[in-house]
Amino acid sequence: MRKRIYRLSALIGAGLLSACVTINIYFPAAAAEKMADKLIDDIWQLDEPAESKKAKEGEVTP
Amino acid sequence: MKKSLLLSVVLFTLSMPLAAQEAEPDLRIDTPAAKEIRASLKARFAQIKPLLENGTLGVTHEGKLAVRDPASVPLAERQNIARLIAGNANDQSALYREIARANGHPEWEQQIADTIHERMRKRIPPGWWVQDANGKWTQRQESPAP
Repeated sequence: MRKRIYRLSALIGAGLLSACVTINIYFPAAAAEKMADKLIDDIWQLDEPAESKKAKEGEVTP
Repeated sequence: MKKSLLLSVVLFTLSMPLAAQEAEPDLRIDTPAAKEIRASLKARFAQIKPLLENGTLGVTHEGKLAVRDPASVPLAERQNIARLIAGNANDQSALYREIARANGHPEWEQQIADTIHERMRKRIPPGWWVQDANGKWTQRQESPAP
């Protein structure tokens, strides 16, 4: 019975600890990268000229 | 008994960040303030682009614009170019601050800046000049793989 309580406490403790780390430090890196690409497309407008150039040369756009 | 307890704890702990990772919501960049700054950056970029293409300006490691060889810039153009560089830098800072604020985490400003600059470095088109962390200028040769 005691062993079971210790085990349960250890699990809950570990879960709470990792949840705290996750909430306080977690930066959404994947979402940030997606946002960065969207911004770069908007301001530098890189995609348009590259695609039209490729179309002219007859290449297949990936 | 001890081994299975350790395994349970490790697996449970590891599952938490993995679960959180799958649930990343998009970072919004469409607030009125952000849109205004983006429009300003875009409008100014029309003047900046030819200067990047002809090598007058380059992109620093921190994602800012810089004159590669100040001595080679004609006197008559120096003031305008300085204005473009400063205006661009100010807009960039304001935008990163606004994005962090708009997404509820003002403390994310620097990480947002770092992420954007990292993507910029990867996506610099061939012909532009880019400065590495040690200050060395190189010209991007061919399109990097996406």
